[in-house]
Amino acid sequence: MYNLTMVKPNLYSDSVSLMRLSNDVAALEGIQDVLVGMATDLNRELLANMGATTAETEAATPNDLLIAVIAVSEAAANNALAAIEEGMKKKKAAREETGNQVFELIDEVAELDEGFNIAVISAPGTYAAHECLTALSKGIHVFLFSDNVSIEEEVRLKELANSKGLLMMGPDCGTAIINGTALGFANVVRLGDVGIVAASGTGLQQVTQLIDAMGGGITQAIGVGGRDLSSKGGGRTMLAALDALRCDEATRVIVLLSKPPAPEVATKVLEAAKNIDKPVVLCLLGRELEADLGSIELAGNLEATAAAAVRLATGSSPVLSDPYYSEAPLAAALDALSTEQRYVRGIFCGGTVCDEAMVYFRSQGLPITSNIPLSDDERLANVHTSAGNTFIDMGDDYFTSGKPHPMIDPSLRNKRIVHDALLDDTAVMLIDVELGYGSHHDPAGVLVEAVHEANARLSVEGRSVLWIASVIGTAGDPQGFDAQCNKLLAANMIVTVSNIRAARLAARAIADVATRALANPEGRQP
Amino acid sequence: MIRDLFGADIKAINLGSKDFYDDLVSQGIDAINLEWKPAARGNKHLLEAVDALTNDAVEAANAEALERINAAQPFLVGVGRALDTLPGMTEDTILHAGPPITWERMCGPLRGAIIGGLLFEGRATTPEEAEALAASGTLNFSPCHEHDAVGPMAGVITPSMPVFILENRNGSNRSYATMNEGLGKVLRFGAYSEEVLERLRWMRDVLAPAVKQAIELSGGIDIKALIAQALHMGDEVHNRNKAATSLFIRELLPFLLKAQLEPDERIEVIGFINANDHFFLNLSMACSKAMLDAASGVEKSTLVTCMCRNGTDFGIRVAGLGDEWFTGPAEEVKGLLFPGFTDADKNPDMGDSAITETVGVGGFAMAASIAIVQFVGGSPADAIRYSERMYAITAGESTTFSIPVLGFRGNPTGIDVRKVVAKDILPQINTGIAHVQAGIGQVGAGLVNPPWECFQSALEALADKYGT
Repeated sequence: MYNLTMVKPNLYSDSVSLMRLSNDVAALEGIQDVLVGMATDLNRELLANMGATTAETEAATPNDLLIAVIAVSEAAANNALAAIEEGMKKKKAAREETGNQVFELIDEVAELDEGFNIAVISAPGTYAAHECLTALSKGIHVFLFSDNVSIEEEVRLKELANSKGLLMMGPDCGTAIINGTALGFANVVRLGDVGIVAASGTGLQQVTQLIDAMGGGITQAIGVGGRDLSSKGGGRTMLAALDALRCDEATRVIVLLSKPPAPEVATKVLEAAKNIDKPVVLCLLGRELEADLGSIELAGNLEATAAAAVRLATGSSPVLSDPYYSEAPLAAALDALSTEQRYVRGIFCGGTVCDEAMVYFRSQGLPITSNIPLSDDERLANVHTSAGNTFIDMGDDYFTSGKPHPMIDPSLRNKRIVHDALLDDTAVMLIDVELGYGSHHDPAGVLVEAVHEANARLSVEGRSVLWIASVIGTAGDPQGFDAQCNKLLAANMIVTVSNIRAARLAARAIADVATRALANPEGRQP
Repeated sequence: MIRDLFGADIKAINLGSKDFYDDLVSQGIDAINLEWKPAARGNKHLLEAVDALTNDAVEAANAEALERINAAQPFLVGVGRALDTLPGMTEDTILHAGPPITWERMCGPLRGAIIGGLLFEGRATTPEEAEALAASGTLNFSPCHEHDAVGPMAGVITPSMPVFILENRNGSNRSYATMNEGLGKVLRFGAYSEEVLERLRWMRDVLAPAVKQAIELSGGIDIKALIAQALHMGDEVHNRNKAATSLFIRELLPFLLKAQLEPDERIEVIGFINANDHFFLNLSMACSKAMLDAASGVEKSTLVTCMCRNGTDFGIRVAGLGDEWFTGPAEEVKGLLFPGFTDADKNPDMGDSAITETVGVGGFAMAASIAIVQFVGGSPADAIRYSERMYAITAGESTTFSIPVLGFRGNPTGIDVRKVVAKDILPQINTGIAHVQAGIGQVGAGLVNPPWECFQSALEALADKYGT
């Protein structure tokens, strides 16, 4: 083995492009391991794990670029290094080609005085609060995708934003649609009269997409970030956004979407919501809340939330358009299962849709385990080892530390999908596929690679599993809704646009398997 | 209001992953992707200090400080003897450029200038005697800035030297500066030959009284107005003072003619000023000093009121921190050397003249002085870029000085310590380069920045005192 480690001082590049570059270079011949990244504590730890730490890397700062290659030969390592340097160079040339003026600072853009009104910030969390502060000070609204921003910084930013009448979405805000413009991970959704505020990324995507699929439309979809409704978060952005939607003439129905807030925050938010003279739909993702909801309509899941919103906006109950959904393959798939195959394995990119599926299973009395459990007794002993009906959020920090989110790079969950599909006791594979801006350009294509591999290996063993996919996507999404769904159908997956529908089907399949096992304890169906 | 955003055209700034930018562009959104790097050189502690100082109280203090700088009206009102004129001046005090420094740590040209000063004062009869006296510990070496004064290069002021007196007519402060000796073998570059001392004596005995009379007859000369005009005539009033010196002579001449002078002396005085393109430099420095001192002591202000160097250390002071010095090593000046000199001949950055940059002229106004690039190196485009960049670290713009080529935009004014650190953009100074040995003189000119340390330690002190 040949190790090559170097530090390039003061050469900053954003982490996503570096991770992508690392992945590209790792695929070259003779390369065992590659790290190209800024010398953060995390990356240096990864470097130590590679056994590639040097005195130079120890002394490096987060402003310095680390390059480490472990290769079978010096030639392969040098080849990788050349590819890394080429990859970094390309970026620069592409910029020069555009001939655009180069800006380095939010201030510089603000000083153009050309009405730039929103900053989309995904810099490392350590530096993000400062950039947000700069933007807010200049009267610019903020969509902050980054996490690793302290709660104290978050509170300060939100208080500043509120005092200036600015929208501070995030930290850790994945999704928003403002004036029809998708920010972060968001679908192309028809404009209409439903305004949404959500402390949930994929939840917001699913609700907006389902409103679209029910013929409705939205005014604004505002993400507030995962901690906004915590005790310290105090609902600062949620309350500000609610008030803005209350005053917004185009918004006729308001949707509030969140896990149950901290009790004192819930009181404030519900009080504010009750005082709005527009219909309000509240979705707590199936959880109970001990509170007087007044005129607020409570919806039990994301699809019901979308349906209630569209009904309140149009005056009639909507019909969900789910063009590729068919239960026809179900019976044959279930017939092919052995009695050992008893469990659902849900491998999710989206935390909220994972959560929604778990809540549903629980409501059906089906035991579950997870890396993001609803209660502690449901926690997986080892997140890498599924047990019983298992629901894994592959977008959880544990899996994404130092890697892109699986919605950006869905291949990161393929290994787990293949692994779990091959488990002796897996009956149903439940998988979400997110389309829209922000997401991978061909998530279905990446997913079916895993499905094909798993099916091929299962078929060698004379087995199969039932595949169910929920596609969060609209006809307008850049990936092409029909093409994506067709790829999944071609891999013999059941496809629906509604996550709760997919979860129900999975639960039904499990129940069916259990019933059949009782009826025929000998094993495989004739 | 948030609802003002609803329905508005989205115009987005993207910072971080370029994918989000690409998505915005493919949605037809007007977006700018920042060539971003972590602020404050990626130092979280400094970022927190910046953020702790980002609040309305500091903004208000800086607005007040900027207003005072802009409102200052320094008039040249007279000439006095240093001992009688400068606050805190004593018979045993020798002033020098830059932050405080001991004899042991002084660079060659500064030591040479002090030797020359002692010879001029008659405190020693030979350079050896002067050196022994300087090293004896009986003299009090003190920065010009601690006596409301400024001096170019070595900046040495001894008790009997004449000084210009400037008065801020929109405030209560005064500032002082020596009179410029010209180029070549001069005290400010550490020369102390008889020729140098003879000129100093002539300046004391002939030039100063004549100029004093003329100034007094004039009733005061508005130096700030002269600078404003000179900026539109190709000067940046640090390394180019041709236009300003000409304007100054024009102001002074009627009164020099009116003054009670011996005919020979009148001719000598006019000839001396006329022959020295840099005569105005000391006035532009004193004017800058008077403007900036008006802002000194504004509580919570993070604006720099002084940048100066003694050839060993670079020092700054900040409005909200009064007289406290924040120092770092003086840097090497990069630029053009006169024929026959090499990099080994260069003394590190020296002089109080960076007070001009501090007020927004000099290196900050290079776009007003395109011709300067022939002297300090670089291209006309560089000159414009240097000036434009300084707006990123200043609190605002001058209301008197403007730069024609930038659309008559007010000069970048009020260097903000927070912005310097957060953006990692150091103030741009253009400067002469002294020979590392005393007495040889100027060896070239070029560009230099202050050391980062000054701003880092000033920021930390500001955050300690005013951070929230």
